[in-house]
Amino acid sequence: MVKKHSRAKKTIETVLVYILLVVITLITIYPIVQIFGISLRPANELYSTSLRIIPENASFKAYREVLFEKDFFTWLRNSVIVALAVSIFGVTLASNAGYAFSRLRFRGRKTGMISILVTQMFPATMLLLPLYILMSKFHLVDTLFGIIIAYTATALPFCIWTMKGYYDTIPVDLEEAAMIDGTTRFGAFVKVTLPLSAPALVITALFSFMAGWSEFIVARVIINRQGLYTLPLGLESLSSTFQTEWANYAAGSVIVCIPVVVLFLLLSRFLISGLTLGGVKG
Amino acid sequence: MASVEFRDVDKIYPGDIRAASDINLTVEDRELLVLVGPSGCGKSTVLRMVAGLEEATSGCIFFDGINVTDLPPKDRDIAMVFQNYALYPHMNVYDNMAFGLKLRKHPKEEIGELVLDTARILGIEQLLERKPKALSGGQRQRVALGRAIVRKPSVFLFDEPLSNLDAKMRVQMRTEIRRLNLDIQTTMIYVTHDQVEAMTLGDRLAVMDEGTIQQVGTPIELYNRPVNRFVGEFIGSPAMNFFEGKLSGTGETPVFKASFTSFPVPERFRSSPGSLVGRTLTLGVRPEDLYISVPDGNEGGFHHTEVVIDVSETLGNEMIFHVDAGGHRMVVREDPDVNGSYGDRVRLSIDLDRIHFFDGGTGASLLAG
Repeated sequence: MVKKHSRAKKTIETVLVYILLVVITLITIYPIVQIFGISLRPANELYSTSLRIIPENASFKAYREVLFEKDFFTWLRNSVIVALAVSIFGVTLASNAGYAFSRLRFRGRKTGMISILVTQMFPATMLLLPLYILMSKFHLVDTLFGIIIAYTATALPFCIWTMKGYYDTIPVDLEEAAMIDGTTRFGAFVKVTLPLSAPALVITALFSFMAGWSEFIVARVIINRQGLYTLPLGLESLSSTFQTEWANYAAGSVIVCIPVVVLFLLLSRFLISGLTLGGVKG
Repeated sequence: MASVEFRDVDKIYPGDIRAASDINLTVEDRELLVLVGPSGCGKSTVLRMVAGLEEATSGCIFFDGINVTDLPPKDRDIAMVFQNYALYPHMNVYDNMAFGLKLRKHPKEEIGELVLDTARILGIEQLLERKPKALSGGQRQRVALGRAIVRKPSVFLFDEPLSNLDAKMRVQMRTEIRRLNLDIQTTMIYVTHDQVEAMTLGDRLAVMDEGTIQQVGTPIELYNRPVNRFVGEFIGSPAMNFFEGKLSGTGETPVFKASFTSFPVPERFRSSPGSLVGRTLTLGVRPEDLYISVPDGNEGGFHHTEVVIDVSETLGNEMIFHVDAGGHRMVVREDPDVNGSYGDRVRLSIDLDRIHFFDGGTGASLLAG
């Protein structure tokens, strides 16, 4: 009796959990689907309030227009440069800084960790003015390098904490074994610690990439020249004072999403737990 | 092949924590020396200083007379087996074992041969393709051993390598390590907190406590002539029995007076420096030097007293009796055919030729230098 009762209870629980998950998924997916729907609308249906996902007379015209009649590939190139640079800087700096915070005991270690965290408490908008002044003093206004630095600085705190946290889970003994086996501390870091940190490196890389890929406000302030527009700036330029081509806008947004989605899918196989399993007695 | 020598080595951690003090110790070439002591006694610190993983705060360490104090681990030609194995989880067994050889730029074919030979010695040649996570505890420790021996280092370091294994596997690996030492004839320093492991493995033992070396010697020396109470208590199982007492009587024939008995101090202690009379001493007697079976009339060399048996343990090859002497508990190890059960009042005989006296204050043996 007891068993039957608990089994029924379990079924109800499972059903409830699934209902909750479905609802959350719908809420998450709906805007994206809506944007996709809008991107397919012909011009005469732009302001339609219909909830149909695939509109009547659906066409890919907007995609063609965005891709070939705007400076889309310039924006894409700029965004790729920025996002890749931010990823490279982010991963390189964070993997090293995180290592220092995790493994070495030095004066100011705690204070350093905390200060890095504190920088995250300020909203980016608040930092716009000082950031602009700094950039202008260093002659970095209207350069991609300028926003690369700004984005890297924004992404680093999260990345450093992530890396530090992950290194903390890797036994120091592994590095010591490598050092005794005949390499330096740096060698042990590169040959043993880094390969084992793949999941954290992937998270760090993705986070940095996203920071560079989709940021708008800082770019808006620092970049003025159209030739240096990144994708978010380019998209925004599609809206004008008198008329906004919503279909183009939506089509652009969908295209912008694709590389990130692909990147996630490619890298997700590294996001596995248990890499260090078996190395030491748990 | 190398000897290892510590000269006045200290290790002080920030916050004035003394992990090792005044370490003076020579490990002879091809010797297996065991550093043994309770946890936190500094034995691992000493080993890690040999490895170069910890810097000595002061003093020097020599390998074959060459000062290696400031050399990084990679230049010391050592190998170490860690308590938790420390295998590289992302490499298979072959690569784990080949790692050190690759770093030293051995030719590929030679690496293959060396790894295979070593794997054969340890009986792990069928595991070479596996990742560490697919191995059992014993297999992992064997791979860790393999990774150490394949490089043919001049000094082997073991940091409690068996403490993560179950009891049966531990005994088996203990024998294998001893055999290894005999086979490959390399200097080995072995750290353990288990005195049985230490006694069975070591050519010599260095007993450590609170960061200092208490005594260095062969297992038999430590067992028979502990220099202080700590060593007497630490070495041997069941542990030595201790009783506090005072010396009274005249200078010629001092008498040891404990609460439950008293007897004249044997001749061999009387020559020890300082006036014995009036001093507080600790009597130390090993369980096998206490008898409840000595027949009446055999008085020579024994002191007798009345005790009551509490618990008796039958081990098959021996009997362990826990007895009570006027509130003092002691442990007696007897032959398996000796009988006695709870509440029995028996005559306990102490073999006076085998007793130890330690200073009540310092704990130093009265017989020690």
